[in-house]
Amino acid sequence: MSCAKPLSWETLVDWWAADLDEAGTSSVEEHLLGCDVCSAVARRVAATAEALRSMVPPVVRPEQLAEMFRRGVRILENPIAPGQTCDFHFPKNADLAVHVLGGLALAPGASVEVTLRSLASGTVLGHVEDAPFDAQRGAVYLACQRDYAQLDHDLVAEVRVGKDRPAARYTILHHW
Amino acid sequence: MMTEATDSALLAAIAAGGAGRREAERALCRRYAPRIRLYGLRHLRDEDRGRDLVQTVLLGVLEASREGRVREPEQLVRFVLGTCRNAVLRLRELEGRAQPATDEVLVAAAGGEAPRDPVNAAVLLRCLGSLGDRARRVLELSFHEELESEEVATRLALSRGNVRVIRHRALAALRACLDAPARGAA
Repeated sequence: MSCAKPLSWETLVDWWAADLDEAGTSSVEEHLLGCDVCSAVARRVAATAEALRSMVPPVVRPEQLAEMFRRGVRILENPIAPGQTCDFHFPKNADLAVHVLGGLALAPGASVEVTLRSLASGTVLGHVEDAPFDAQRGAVYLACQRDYAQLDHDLVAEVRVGKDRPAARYTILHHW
Repeated sequence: MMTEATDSALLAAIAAGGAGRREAERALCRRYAPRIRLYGLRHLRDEDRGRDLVQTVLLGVLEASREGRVREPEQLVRFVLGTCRNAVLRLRELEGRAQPATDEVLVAAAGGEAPRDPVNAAVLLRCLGSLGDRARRVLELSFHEELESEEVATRLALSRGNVRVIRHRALAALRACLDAPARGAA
């Protein structure tokens, strides 16, 4: 298999992101329909972009959670209060667990930051600025997936509402 | 070997009918199914509907080939592209799924290799974490929230050209991280 004029990775990413004009899109698609070499590279672009599209982010928006419920995803909610340490056993019959980090005074439009740290080392595992939240429930939804078994088992979630306020801390000890 | 035959030779064998037709049809389907599926996923963003597209397009191409309606056999790619475009428009109008095909060749072709590669959520999270904040945000906004580059640029106070450069570099870095040998050991 060979290709005399291979399409660049840049062009294929632009194509996948719908960032080419009509003529450019046509030209790429005609090439891909006739070329196994470039189709194989385009499938790598597609697989990577699709993984991002279908991922569940660490902090989930309420409407995204509602949509997953509608689609039949088996979700277990685990409510936690600020300052609490919680032992959490990932249930066998759930697709996704959501730690409901509650007890927060959240007005619509509030600026919320979430930092996840390893309990053992204090290392930052993740940080989300402008994190989504459920103002009505006064909670931030932290997604927990079965695959996370290979990450640090015990973590501290710090939720800061407003830049100068102290962070609320939630400690979660995972058992897989 | 039919698998190595040119498109023109396959079309000729299909149009001629007889014993060689079925084998030529199989070879044509095997050649085009993965490429059509990629086109389908790009335009329909749904794997099941991508399979529907493969069946619909291949059925149209096979029927045209049997009836000798592909006027320029050496330009079969253009014929397939035109059929893909029309089929995507029709599929978008449909509320549900297309009528499933019964032809074994089409069913087999549509069920072939998928572009989606199941990625371990922890590995994806770790690989995203290894990118810089700006690169990660560009990827999330572009591919998770599916914003146009103009909007990503506005949100992150970048130029559109900058967004494109960051996006293709970050996606390449993410792919390399996902493919790294550590993935298996993670």
